[in-house]
Amino acid sequence: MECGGLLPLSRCEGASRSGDPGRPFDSGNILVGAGGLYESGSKPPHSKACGLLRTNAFWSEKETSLVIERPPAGVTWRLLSRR
Amino acid sequence: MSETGSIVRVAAIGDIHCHKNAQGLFRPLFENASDFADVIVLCGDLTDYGLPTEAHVLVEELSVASNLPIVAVLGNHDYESGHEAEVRQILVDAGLIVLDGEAVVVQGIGFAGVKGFAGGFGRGTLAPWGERAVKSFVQESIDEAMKLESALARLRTESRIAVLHYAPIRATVENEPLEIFPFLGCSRLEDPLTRYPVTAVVHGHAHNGTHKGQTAGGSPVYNVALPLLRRTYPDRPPFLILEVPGVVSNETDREPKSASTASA
Repeated sequence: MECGGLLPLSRCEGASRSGDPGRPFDSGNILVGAGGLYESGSKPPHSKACGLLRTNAFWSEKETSLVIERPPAGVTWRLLSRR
Repeated sequence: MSETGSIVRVAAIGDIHCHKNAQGLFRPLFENASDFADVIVLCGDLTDYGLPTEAHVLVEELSVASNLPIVAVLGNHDYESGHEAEVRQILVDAGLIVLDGEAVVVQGIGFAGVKGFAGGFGRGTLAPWGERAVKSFVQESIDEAMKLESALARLRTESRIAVLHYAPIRATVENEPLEIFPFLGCSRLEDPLTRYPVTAVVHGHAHNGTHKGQTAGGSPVYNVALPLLRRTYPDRPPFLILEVPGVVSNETDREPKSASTASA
């Protein structure tokens, strides 16, 4: 599967990070297929095709909707104030 | 400066993993965030290998959002090369508020920040028993939880946001392989959030986790790891906007990175 555009980032990340024994606790390293190690700080081998590394590929520029959450206001404050 | 009580927009994102060749890659993201938000929160793994060169690149990328206060915690990747103190200083020198067991009030919102640590969840939480190495591992998670508690105890604002890298609850690491759950967070971080409830918790680290959960006390928890946000909302900017009551400055040219230290 090609790794570019708005495809799931985990594909891209995994391809560049898998097999790195020095980073066992990063969930991005775990679910990955074959891929080589790369030098510390260097550009991963798949980077040019990877959506993360394309400045215009984070989202559709025409899309203006946001991921918005409105936590219930006041609930936690009342809990705190009762103490 | 006049101020009014209002809804403050907090843009939260984690796991940027900025590397030395990332010049220009994150500017559109931060520029977009600064267009929509009043505060930016970064939930750790700001750099890929914890190198000072990566931190300098990140600071340059963040310069497009220099009109906003930026609150951050470090993540495990920021510790990888043993230069975490230098990485932190580079970020602080650039005006970021980097929290490690401290609390600050920004735009009327209290932020308590800590990296957190691993250890597992619920009855599966690793206990300090047996080998010294196991006890040291557990002590690290206890120390992080105590730092979080100390920070939360200082906040008196109506809105309070806990900023972590590791997950405090199991729900937001669901979808990851079960085998690695214990390395993605720890229930010990949830305890202080129960004693000191918050408006919201934001964390990263679990790239393949679940976007939303809640603590036992009912505080909403959001996993804002960049890869997860991109996958969950592929057509939207990859940051979460939290709308919470705060104080918005009416100044057109707001003081950058303004913050006041929370009093005990």
